[in-house]
Amino acid sequence: MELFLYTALFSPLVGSLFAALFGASPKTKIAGVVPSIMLGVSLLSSTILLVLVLTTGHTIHVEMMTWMATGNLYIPFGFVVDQVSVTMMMVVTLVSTVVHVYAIGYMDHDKGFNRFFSYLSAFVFSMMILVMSDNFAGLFIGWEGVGLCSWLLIGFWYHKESASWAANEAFIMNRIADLGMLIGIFLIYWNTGTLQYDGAFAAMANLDASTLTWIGIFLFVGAMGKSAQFPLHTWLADAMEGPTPVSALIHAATMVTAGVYLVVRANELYALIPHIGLFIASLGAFVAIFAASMALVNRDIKRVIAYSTLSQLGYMFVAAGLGAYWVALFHLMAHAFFKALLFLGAGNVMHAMDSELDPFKMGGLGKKMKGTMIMMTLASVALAGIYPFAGFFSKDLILEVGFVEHHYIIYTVLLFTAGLTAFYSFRIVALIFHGEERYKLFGFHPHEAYKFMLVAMSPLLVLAIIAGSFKMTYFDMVTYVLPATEYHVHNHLVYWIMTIGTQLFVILSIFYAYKKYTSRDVKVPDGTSAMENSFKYKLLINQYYIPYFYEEYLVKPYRELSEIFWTKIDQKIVDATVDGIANVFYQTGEKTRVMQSGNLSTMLKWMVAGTVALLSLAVVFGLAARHSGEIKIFLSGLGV
Amino acid sequence: MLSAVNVSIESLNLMTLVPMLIPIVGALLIIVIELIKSSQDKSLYVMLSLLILGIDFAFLLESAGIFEKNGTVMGVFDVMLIDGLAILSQFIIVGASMLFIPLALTHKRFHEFSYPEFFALFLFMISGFQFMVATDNLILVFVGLETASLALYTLIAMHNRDKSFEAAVKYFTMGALAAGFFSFGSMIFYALTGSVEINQIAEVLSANGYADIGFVLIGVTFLLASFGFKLSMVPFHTWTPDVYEGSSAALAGYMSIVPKIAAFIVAMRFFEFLIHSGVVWLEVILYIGVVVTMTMANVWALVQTDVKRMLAYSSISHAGFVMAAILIGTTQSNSALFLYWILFSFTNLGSFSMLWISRQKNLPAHQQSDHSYDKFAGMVKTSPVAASIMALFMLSLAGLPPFALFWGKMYMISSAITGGYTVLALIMALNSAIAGYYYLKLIVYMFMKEPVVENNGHVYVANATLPLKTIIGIAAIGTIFAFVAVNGLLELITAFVYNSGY
Amino acid sequence: MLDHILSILIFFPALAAMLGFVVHKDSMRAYGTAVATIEFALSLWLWFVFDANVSGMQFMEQIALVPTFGINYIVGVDGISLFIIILAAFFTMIGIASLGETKDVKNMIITLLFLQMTMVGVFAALDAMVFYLFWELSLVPMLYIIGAWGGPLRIYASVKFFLYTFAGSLVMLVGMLFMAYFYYQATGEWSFAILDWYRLILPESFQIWLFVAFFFGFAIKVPMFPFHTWLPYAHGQAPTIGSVILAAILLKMGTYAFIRFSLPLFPDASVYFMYPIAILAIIMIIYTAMVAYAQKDIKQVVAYSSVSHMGVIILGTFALNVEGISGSIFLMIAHGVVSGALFLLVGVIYDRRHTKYMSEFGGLASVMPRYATIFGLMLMASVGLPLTINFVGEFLSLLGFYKQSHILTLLAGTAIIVGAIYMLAAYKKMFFGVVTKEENKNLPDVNKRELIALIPLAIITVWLGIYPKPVLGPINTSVESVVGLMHEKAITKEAKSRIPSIGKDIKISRNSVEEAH
Repeated sequence: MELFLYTALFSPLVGSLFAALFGASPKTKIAGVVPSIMLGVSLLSSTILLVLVLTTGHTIHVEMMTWMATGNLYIPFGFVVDQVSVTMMMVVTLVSTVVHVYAIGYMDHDKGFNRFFSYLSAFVFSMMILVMSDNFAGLFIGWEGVGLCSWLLIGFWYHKESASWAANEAFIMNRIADLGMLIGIFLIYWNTGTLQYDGAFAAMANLDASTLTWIGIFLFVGAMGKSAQFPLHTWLADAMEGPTPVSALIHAATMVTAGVYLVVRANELYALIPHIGLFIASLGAFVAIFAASMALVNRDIKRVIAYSTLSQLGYMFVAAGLGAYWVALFHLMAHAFFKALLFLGAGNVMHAMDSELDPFKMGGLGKKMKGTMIMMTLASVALAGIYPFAGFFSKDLILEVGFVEHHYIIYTVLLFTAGLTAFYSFRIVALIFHGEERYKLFGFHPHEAYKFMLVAMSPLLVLAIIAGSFKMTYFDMVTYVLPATEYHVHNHLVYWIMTIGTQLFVILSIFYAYKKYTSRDVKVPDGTSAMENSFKYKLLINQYYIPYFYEEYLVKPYRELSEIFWTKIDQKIVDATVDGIANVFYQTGEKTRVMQSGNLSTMLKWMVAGTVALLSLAVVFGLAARHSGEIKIFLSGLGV
Repeated sequence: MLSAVNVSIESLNLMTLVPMLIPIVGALLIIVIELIKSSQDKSLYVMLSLLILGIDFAFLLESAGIFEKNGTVMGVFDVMLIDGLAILSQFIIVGASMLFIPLALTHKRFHEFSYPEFFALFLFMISGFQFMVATDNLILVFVGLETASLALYTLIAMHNRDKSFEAAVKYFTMGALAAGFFSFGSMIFYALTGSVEINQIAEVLSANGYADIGFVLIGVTFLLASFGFKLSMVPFHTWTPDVYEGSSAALAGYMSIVPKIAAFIVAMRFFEFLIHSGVVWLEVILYIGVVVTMTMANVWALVQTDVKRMLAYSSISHAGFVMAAILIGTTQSNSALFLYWILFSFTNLGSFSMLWISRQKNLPAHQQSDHSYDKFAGMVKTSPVAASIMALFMLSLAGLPPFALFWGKMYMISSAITGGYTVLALIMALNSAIAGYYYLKLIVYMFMKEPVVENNGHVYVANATLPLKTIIGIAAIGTIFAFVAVNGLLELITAFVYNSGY
Repeated sequence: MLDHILSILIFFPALAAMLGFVVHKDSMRAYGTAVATIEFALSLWLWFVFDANVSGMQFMEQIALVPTFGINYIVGVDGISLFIIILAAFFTMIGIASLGETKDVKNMIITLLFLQMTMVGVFAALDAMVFYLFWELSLVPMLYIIGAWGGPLRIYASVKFFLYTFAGSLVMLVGMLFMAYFYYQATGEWSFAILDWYRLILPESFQIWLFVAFFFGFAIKVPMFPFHTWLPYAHGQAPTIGSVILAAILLKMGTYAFIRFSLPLFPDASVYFMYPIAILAIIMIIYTAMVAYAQKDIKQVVAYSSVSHMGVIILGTFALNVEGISGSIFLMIAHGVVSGALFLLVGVIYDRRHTKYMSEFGGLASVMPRYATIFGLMLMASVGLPLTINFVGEFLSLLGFYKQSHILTLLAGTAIIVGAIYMLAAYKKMFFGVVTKEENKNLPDVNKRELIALIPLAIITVWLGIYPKPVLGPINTSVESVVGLMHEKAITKEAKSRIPSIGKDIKISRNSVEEAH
C-alpha cells in the first residue's frame, strides 16, 4: 500500500522535473503529455487508496525519513492517508489531471509551455504534501510550496507588469498569514512537545483554554491567508492575472481550500474552542455575502468567478466553524468540481474571444460554442445549488447546519447569498452565451475550443452533476475521523418549506438575471448610465475601496518609511555618528597642531608653562595637605 | 689633621665600572687612530665601534650572570648600582646601538659618517646612558645625562643640513632648560633629606612621614619636568618632531629608543617609591600625563603629512603608553615596560631604517619633504618586498598580533588591569585603535594608491646596502617571530625586575 | 597525522601562499584552485573522521607559546566549529575557481589563501589569545582585497571596515585579559585556554561587565545594529569574491564567538542581556529589511539582507536552548551558502554590465533564463522557503526563542514577511517586465566558470534543506553540552530557569581539558 502512497505523492514531482528538463528549450508536446500521464498515475493510486480506505477503513501512516531533529524537537517526513486526506487527494489529483490535459490545449500557443507544466505539476506535488503530511511542519512545507507555485504561476506571464505585481501581492499577503501559522506551530510545539497531529491533538485535551484559543486563532490566521478570507482577500481577485487553468486548479479547486482543510484537520482542536469556531463561522458568512456582492457588478468573467469562489469558501468556513467539518469538506469537494469546470469554460470563452474578458462585449456565443455553453450553464446550476446537482447537496446542507445550530443570522445571510450567487452566475452565462451578438461590433471571430479540451472537462461536468449522490458513502467514510453529527431539521414541515423555499428563491433570481441580461437593450456600459454612477455600484466595482486603502495606507507608507530609514536614519544618524566620532579626533588634531609652531621660544614657553602648571598644582596640593584639618572643618562648615 | 681616607680596592668593586668604561676607551681608541692616520674609511670605524659594543655586551652578560648569582651589586662608594634594571636597560642601550651603528654604511655618502668624531661621540654617549641607568645617585645621573645629551646634540648637528642645525640648537636649548630643572629638583631633595641617593631620600622621607609634602612635590615637579622633556611627555614634547625631522632617519629612530629607556629607568627608580608611599598627587599627575601624552600624540600623528613626523608623534605616544608602567608600578608593569621597549626597539628601528634606505640625497620637485606620504604611493607596484616589510612594521606598531609590539601592548594592558587601572586599560586599548588609523594610512598609500609620478622603485632603496638590508632583515625577523622569544624574555625580565625589588 | 590535522588545515594555505610567490602569474589560477581544493578535501576528511557522538573537542593540539603568561597554541574542533571550517574551505575553493577577470590575480589569490588561514584559525582556536590573533589577522587580507580591488570608494570602505572592527576587538582584548586575570586570581595560574575558562564561575556583576566588553568585539563583527554601517560600504565597494567571503565566513566569526565565549562563560549575563539583545536583533531584522527595500543597488540589497538575517541568528543564539542555538548555528551555515551565492550572482551580472543598479535591468528572465532560475532559487532560500537550507535555521531559531518570549518572536517572525517584500521587489525589478535597455537585449547567460560555483551551492541549498541531519546532528550534540554547561554554571535563579537543563551529565570542560594536557 505504501507503494501507492509514494506513487500518488511523487509522480507529480517526477512529471514536474521532467518538464523542467525542457525548461529552457522551445515548446514540445511531450513536456505537457508526460506530466499529465504522471498525474494520471497519481490519480490512479489515489483512487486505489480511496477504495482501500473505503472498504477496509484502514488508514496508512508512513514515515519516510527524519527532517529536523534537535533538542526535544523531532520532525519526520511522515505521511498519512486517512479518510480526510484521501478525499483531498482525490479532489486534487482529479481536478489537476483534468486541468493538465486541458492546459495542453489551452497553452498550445504559449512559448512558456514547458515551464508552465513543470510549475503546474510542482504545485500538485506541494498540494499533495500539504494534504498528506502527518504533522504541522510537513503541512507548512506544502503550505509554502503551493505559495511558491502560485507565485510562479500567477506571474507566469512575467512580462506583464500587472501579472508580476499580482504574484508578489499574493506571495506577500500569504506570508503575512503564514507568520500566524508559524506562531501557531511554535505554540503547539512548546505546549504539546510534538508537531505530529495525533500526538499534538491528544495532548491538547489537557491544555488550558487560553492556550488553545491562541493556537486556534493563529492557525486560523494562517488559513485566512491561503483561503483569502477578509481582510486578506484582495490577492485572490488579482491572481486572475495567471493563465486560466491555473485559476481553475489553484484559485478555485485546491490551494484556496487549504485553509478549510486545515480547520477540518484541526477539528479536534476547534471542537475544544467553540467560541473561535463561531468567529470563524461569522467571518465565513460575512465573506460569503461580501464577495458575492462584489461579484454582482464586476465586468471581468474570471474575477466574477473568483469572487464566487471567495463566497463559497465563506460557506465552507461557516460549516467548519459550526463544527460540521464533514459538511465543509463535502462542499469543498463538490465546489472543486463545478468551480473548476466554470473556470475552464471561461478559459474556452477567453480563447474564443482572444483573451477578452468583458462579458458585455460578448453575447450570443451560444451558437458558436455549444459545448462550452452547456458545461458552464450546468456548472452554474450546480453552483446555484439546484436539485439534483452537487451544489444542492453540499450548499443547502450548510444552510441547514446554520439553521439547526440556531445561528439564524448566519442562516439568513447565507440564504440571501445563495440568491446573489444564482444571480451573478447567470448574469455571466446570459451575457456570454445569450442575447444579441455584441462581439461582432468588436470584430471578434469566436470558435469552439479543441475537442479534447471539452472531453477533458467532461469528468468534471459529470461530477458536478452527480457528486451529490456520494453523500452517504462519503459521510460513512469521513466520520471515522470527523465528528459524525447529522444535521436534520426534524420538523418535516419546516424542512420542506426551507428546501423548497430556497429552491424557489434561487430559481427566481436565476430567471431575473436571465431576463435582465438577455434583453435586447443590454449594451456595453460606457459609464454614462445612472446605475454606473450610483454610489453602490462605485462601491462594489471598486471592491469597497479596500485595495485602494491598502495601497494608500499600507504600501505607500511602508515604502516611504523605508526610504526615510535609509536616507535619514541609517545614513544621517547611525553612520554619521560613527564618522563623527572619528572626525572628532581628526579635527582636534587639525586644531591643536598649531601648538607645534616650530618656533623655539614658543616651545620653551610650553615647557615652562607645563612646569608652572605642575608647580601651582603642587603648591595647592601641598597647602591642602598641610591644612587638611582646617579644610575639613571649613567644608563641614559648608555642610559638604 | 685630616686622617688619610683609605679604602680597600675590593670594596670599591671597580668591576661595576667596566661596562661604562669600555665605550669610553673605545672612543679614545678611535680618536687615537684618527690622529695616527687620518681619513680612514668609515667602514673601519663602524666595525670598530661594533666590536667595542660587542665587548661591552659581553661584559653585560657577565654582570647579568653575577646578578643572577648574588643579586644587586653596589660599587665605587655605593655610587654604582648594578641591579636588574641597570642590566636590562644596558642590554637595550647597547643592543640598540649595535643595531644602529651599521646604518652608517649607507650607499649615498652622508658626510657626518666621514668624521671619526661621530663614532667617538656616539660611544661617549652610550657610556653616558649606561651611567645614567647604573646608579641611583642623582648627581651621577646628571653627569651621565649631560654627557649623553651633549654628545647627542653634536651628532644631530653633524647631519649637515640647515634643519639639522636648527634641530640641534632647539634640542640643546630645551635640554639646557631641562637640565636646569633636573638639578633644581635634586637640589630641593638634597635640602629636604641631605642626600642625593634615591634610596636614602626614600628612607628619610618615609622616616619623617613626608612632613613637608609641599616641598617634596615642588622637587618632584622639577624632576618631572626634566624627565618629561627626555621622555617627550606632553607638553614637554614639542622638540621631538622637529628634532626627529632634522636629524637623519636612522638617528631619529635611535633617539626614539635609547635615550628614552635611560630616562625611563631613572624615572622608575625615582617615582616608584613616591607612588608606593602614596603620594596621590604624583599618581594623579602621572595619570593625566600618560593619558594626555598618548592620546594627543596620536591625535597629532593623525594629521601629519610626512611619515617621519608621523613616526615621531607615534613614538611620543608609545612613550606615553609605556609611562603607564611607572604609574602602575607593579612588578608586572615594570617588566612589561622592558618587554615593550625591547620589542618596540626592533620594530621602530626597523621602520626608521626603512625611511633611511629610501632617503635621497636631495628632494625631488614633486615632494615637499623627505618622506612625505605620497612618496610611498603605489610602492607595492615598484618594490613589493620593501613595501611588505614597511607594512609589517606598521602593523606591528599598530599592535596587530602576532607581530612584536602586540605582545608588549597586551602585557602592558594586562598589567594595567591587574594593577586595578581598568579605565586606563580601556584608554590604552582605544588609543591603539586611534593609532591604527595613521599606520594604516601609510599601508593604504603603499598598497592601494597609484604612484604619483612614475618611478622605477629605486627611490625606496636609494640608500640600501647589504649592512642596511641586514639590519632591516634582523628587525623584520625580530618583529615577525617575536612570539617565539616572548616567553624567554618575559621569564628573564620578570626575574631581573623582581629581584631588583621593583 | 590525525593529531595535527587542524594545524595542517590552518597553515597549509599560508604555506601554499608563500610558495605562491614563485608561481608564474598565468598559472596562478590553477595553483590557487589546486591548493584550495586540497584544503577542502582535507576539511571533508576532517568531517569524515569527526566523531559525531562526542560532545567535547576533538583533534586537540597544544603547543606552548607563552606558558609563563598562560598563552598556548590550542586548537580543537567540535560540532559547532566543524561545519563553519568546512564552509570556509569550500567558499575559498569555489571563490578562487570562479574568480572572474581580475587585475594582478596573483596577489589576489595569495591574499585569499592567507585569509583562509586566518578564517580556519579563528574557528579552530581554543585559546583566547590565539583566537584573537587570527581574528585580528583576518582583517589584513580583507583590507587589502577591498582596498586594492574595490570600487571608487574602496579606500574609505576598507579603512572603515578595518578600524571599526579593530576598535571593537581591542575592547574585547581588554575583556579577555580581565578574564585571564580572574582565572589567575581563582587558580593562581595564568591561562587563556577557553576550556579552562569554562570551568570558571564568576559572580553576576563581573559577568555583566565582561559580557559587555566581549559584546563590543562581537557585535561590530556580526554586525549588529547600530554598529552595522561599515558593512554596506564594505560590500558595496568590495569585489565579488571579497563580498562572498565576507558575507559567508567573516560575519560568522561574530555569531560563532557569541556561542563560543559569551554564552558558556557568562550564562547569567547572557540571560540578563537576553531581552536587550533580542530587541537589537529585532531592529536588525525589521529595520535593515526595510532599508534593503529602499536600495537602488542590488548588491546593497543583499548586503542589508545579510544584516537582517544575522539578526535572526543572534535571536536564535540568545534563545539559550538547544533548539534555538542549533538553529542559529545551522542558519550561520545556511546564510553563508545563500548570501555567498547571492553575491556571486550579483557578480555575474556586474561582470556583464558593470552596474549594480536595478533600474538598469528588467526582463532579464527572458534574456538569461538559467541565471534567473538560479537567482530565483537563492531568492526563495533567502526568504526562508521550506526545503531550502535557510528555512531549517530560521524555523529552529525562531522556535527556540519563542520559548523565551512570545511577543518578541512574533515581531521577529515578521522577518519572513519583510524579507519577502524586499527580495521579491528586487527580483521583479531585475527579472520581470520587458527588456527595455538595449544593452540588456543579448546578454550571455551564466557561463561554465560561473556555474562551477553556483551549481554546488544550489545543490547544497536544496540538499541540506531536505536532509539537514548530517549537519544538524553533530551541531546538536555539541550544543546540548554547551547548554548543559550553561545551566550547570548559572548562578541566578532566573538563569537556571531560563536555561533548560540537559538530562545527560556535562563533560565538555573536564575531559577535553584532560585531552589538552
